[in-house]
Amino acid sequence: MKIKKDHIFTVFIIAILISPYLLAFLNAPQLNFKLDRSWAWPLVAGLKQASLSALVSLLFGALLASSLFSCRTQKSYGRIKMILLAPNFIPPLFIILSVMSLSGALSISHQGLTWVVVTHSLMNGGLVAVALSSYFLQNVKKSWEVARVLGANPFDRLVRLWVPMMLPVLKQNFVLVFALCLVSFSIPLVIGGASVTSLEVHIFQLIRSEGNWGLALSYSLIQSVLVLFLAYLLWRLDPPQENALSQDSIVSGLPRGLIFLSFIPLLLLAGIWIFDSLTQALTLFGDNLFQSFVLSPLFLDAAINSGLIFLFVFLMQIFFSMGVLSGGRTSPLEAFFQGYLAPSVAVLGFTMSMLPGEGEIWLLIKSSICFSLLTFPLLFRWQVLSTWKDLSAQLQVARSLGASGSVLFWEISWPQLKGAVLQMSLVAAVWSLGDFAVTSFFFSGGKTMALIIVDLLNKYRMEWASFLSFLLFIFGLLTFYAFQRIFTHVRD
Amino acid sequence: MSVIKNIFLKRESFSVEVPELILRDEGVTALIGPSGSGKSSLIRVLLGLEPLTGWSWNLNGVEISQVPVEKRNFGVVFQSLELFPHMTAKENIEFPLRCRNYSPSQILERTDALMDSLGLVQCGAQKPHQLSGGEKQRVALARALAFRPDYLFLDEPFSSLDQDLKESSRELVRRTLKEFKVPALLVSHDKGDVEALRSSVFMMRKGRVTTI
Repeated sequence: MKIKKDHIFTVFIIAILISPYLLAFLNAPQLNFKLDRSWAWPLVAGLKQASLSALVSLLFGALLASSLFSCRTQKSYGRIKMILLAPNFIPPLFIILSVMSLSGALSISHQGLTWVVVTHSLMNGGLVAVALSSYFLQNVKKSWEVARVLGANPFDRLVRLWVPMMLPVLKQNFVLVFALCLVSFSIPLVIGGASVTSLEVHIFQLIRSEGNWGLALSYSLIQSVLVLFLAYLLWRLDPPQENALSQDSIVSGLPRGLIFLSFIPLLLLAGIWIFDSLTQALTLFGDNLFQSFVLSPLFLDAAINSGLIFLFVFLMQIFFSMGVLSGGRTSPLEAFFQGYLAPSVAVLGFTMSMLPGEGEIWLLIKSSICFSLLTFPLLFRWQVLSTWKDLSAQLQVARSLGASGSVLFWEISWPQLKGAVLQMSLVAAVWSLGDFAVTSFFFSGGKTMALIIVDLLNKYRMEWASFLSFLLFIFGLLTFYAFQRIFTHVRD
Repeated sequence: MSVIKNIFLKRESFSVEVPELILRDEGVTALIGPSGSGKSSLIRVLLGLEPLTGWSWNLNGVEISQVPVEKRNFGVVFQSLELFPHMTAKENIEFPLRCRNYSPSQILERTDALMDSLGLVQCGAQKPHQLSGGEKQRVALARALAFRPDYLFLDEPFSSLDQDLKESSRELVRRTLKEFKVPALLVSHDKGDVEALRSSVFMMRKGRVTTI
């Protein structure tokens, strides 16, 4: 297959994205690992947890979708959509703290399968709601209305129309949430407890507790095969999106009060923890021990490291995006992003560990690359891909007028997509502040703010952990806001 | 004749104000106007798909504005036809009859008669994506007429067809409506549709209706 000059950079970026899988598979024979049945139990437990999480997320998402159907204008639809998607942008560490605060308020244990399923559903329910409502409004609503006019009662409409016509998007979202929950690491690790685990958690424990890289890699390969199969399914299940969402398609007549349903996930995942953190803050101001801890070199070092990772991740996301966009939109590339799922943290960690460089700055760079490879495919699909698709008519016109690849990129695609790319990169950078899954592969002890917070949780210093994570969250939000303002000012 | 009163619909970017509109109880009433004049919004209010209170339409002794959408006994053909993609042509036509709990023999009799009348016998087992543009349109029309509606709404039914097909479709609709004796409201921006089909004409411009 001849690769055009314009596509070289894109192929290079795609190669980087899939390199962890390739490197892991290529190195498998050298590690002398053995495949034994000890992978079966965590795999089955992970499949069980992921299935339940996906099913409950679908049901919860269908309920949350009613909040979108009750919107009367495109503006309110857009706002409610953002509220529903917000939980996906909260770093897992903060979600864990929220669950712990909530369980503390209810005086029950925060561990177990139920909590894992509930947490995953609160995180992903909004995502499902947006996907279901968008698909329904674009592809099913008019048929729904015709059926109503022709005399179909609600049961008829549900069984004869809604289920068969929504099946493609239901299947796709089940597989997507299943895949996300299967490779979920932080939630099962902290909230799952002894009875709930996953292959990902088991791999982590093999590496951190036993240093058994050989066995860890063998399990990673099993998981990677499963993830690649799920990615293939996602690509095959991609339901066709047709018309743009118009004002007509939004108005549906459900009671406006349903809009408040959309706030449930955000309140439970962030509201309680924020309230808890603020009340803790009042007791911490007079705590000399806390003050000396915050002023210690360890804390300062961790803050700087977190800041550097934030910056590296931000720049890497922009770099990857520019690389993909510069090659031009093609069907195979779109299909790749529609289906591709990032490798697990373990596979990524293993791949990075094979790269040269051991000093602290190299470990920071490696963990940033790792984190970017983990988040880029998903964020690109959520935030940039559909906007890029919308530009296809413009690109075709420009091409027929004689524009080269670089002109198409610099004068058509980039000016219209840089806003979405910047936003995506900022989200990834804010996410990185709350990451401990990736950084714990490269660092031990409190080398980043997130690792310090996890350390504090392990030492039952809940109030310190809660408050510090709240500060981190505020820092992330303020930086996000500041960058947005600077960008808008420069653009104008 | 029946009279529609007090339709005042306000949305973000447009409004529809129809204090009074007289519809014929037979033949075709045409509502013409440029794109964006509010014609489709008016149809949606009459069908009950646009939530609106305070308006009235007494049709055959029934106050339509108070009747749930499913019970109004209206037929509709939208511009996009909206055939159910997972059902065959025959199943699409049978759909409203099944919703009204017609017996299997009644469903068979009605469907066969309609398909014969509209030249759809050969394509009954095919799914919408396998049908030609003209066939899809006839299936949509058959589905809308299967249960003998009190009124038929045609919202730009021919605008996506080429000229030859438009003319034959107009003739088909005119003949079918005459045969089934169903009054219809035709919404279109094409004067050709109006000239071929209408008994009376109203013009809609910027949300307001005027007689021609």
